Amino acid sequence: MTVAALIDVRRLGFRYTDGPPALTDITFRVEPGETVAILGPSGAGKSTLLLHINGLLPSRLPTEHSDEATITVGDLPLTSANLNAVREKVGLLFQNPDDQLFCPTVARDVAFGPLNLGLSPEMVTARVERALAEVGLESFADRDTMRLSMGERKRACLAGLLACHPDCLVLDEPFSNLDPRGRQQIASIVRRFSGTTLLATHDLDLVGDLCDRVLVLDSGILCADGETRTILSNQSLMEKHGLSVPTCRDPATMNTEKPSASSPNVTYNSDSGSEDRLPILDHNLPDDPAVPLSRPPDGAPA
Amino acid sequence: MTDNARYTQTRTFHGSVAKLAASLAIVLAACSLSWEDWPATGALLALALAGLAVSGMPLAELARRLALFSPVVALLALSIPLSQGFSSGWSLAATVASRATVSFLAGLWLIHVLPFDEMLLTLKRLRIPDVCISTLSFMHRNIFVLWEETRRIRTARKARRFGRTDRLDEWRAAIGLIATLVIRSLDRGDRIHRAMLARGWDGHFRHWQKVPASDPGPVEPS
Repeated sequence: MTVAALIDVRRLGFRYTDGPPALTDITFRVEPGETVAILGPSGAGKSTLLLHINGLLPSRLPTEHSDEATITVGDLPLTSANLNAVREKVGLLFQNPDDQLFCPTVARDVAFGPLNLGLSPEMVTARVERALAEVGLESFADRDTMRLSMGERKRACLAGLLACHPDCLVLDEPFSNLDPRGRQQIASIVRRFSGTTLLATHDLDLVGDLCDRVLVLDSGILCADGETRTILSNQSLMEKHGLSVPTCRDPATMNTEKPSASSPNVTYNSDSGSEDRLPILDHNLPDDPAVPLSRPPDGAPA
Repeated sequence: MTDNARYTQTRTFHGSVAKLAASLAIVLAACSLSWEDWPATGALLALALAGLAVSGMPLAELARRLALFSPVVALLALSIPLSQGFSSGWSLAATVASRATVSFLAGLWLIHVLPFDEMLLTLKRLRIPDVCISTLSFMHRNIFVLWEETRRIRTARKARRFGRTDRLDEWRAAIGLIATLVIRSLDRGDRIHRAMLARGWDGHFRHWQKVPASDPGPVEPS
């Protein structure tokens, strides 16, 4: 028996008004638990594709009875009737955290999703506290969302998604505009998330660390779909699509296995031949990184 | 919710309503008076200033805000004699200026003594329509986002001006800046709306207050 893919995109095409095709005939599957990167030059259609998976594009979705359904999340085809159910499964992180943080305080912003799920104030409080602890922002609950650094803003946005207990995280440029510590903090959260992750990024080193599979998108066309090591070590493919082979590690020695949750350390600079394992430099992260970030089974306490 | 928490919440709500009502009463009273009723207008002005003094607003902060507000009111007031004639317009101009100043001070006092978030919650409990409350909430948040954006654009322009300052050029740049901001704000509004939809927004503003730890623990639905 074949296991149903968590995300199944078939023959997806899209064109913005008066523009060239943004996506052409995109077909791929993401299996449950996979971490998949979407690579490609700027303007390749990565963000457009991610918006489709959350049902934010196109503005008019197909109906239940039409044959146009091209995206399935879990067992739900993405149609106007299933829109909210699909959005409950998929947590979308936007490229610019200022677009996502629209409430006055961090806690209120994190509570936005759970409140829309119709949870009681007690459950919302529990989810907010847990999500903030998961991203290491427990002490930022009452902080004004404007008074956060870029890394803190991104983590606050992630807390907002985790509080909704999604099956799948869809992350648009989660590492952009971050210093190395900020990137590692986000990477640590992605690594500990036990669900499925689909992320668009230009950070090839972290792709090597985090992702099982890579999709290469260029000019709205899916040009490659394969194992991380295979894609990242293919210099001609990478250069053809405006990418480059990761500089600070040898793709052939890349660990394509998702690191175990009990081993939060990240290896850098394996070219040096030494096993330089750098600890996560974050005092705020939860003490027990072995606890995976996951959607609790139905009926379990928050 | 425990009795204690409920009592505290009710007390806070009554306090917020009293502050809102006091501020609104001063504004309504000021707007019902003309310049000829200057003793009453003066009394309202003194009341608003006294409120600000009691609330602990620093004098420098008050002066700074008045300095930002005064040119707008002055321009507005001066436009009246220009359009209505210098014989009858001055009295109306003085009335507009006095009403605006008292209302501004009352509003300033309100935002100083009532956190914006609490004000929204109070308005919600007073059954003000959701659409008004969410509009106020986004306006408050996005004023700061836009202000940051304005600062970034101005800094970028300054960096390429190489110390040259030309008044006419500055005015032209300001007009360009406003146009850029309008377009970016529309774009941002669209993206924020998408971010809200992605987290289940259905057009209803839901307020949440952290439940104290002493309350019964959470139970997820089965």
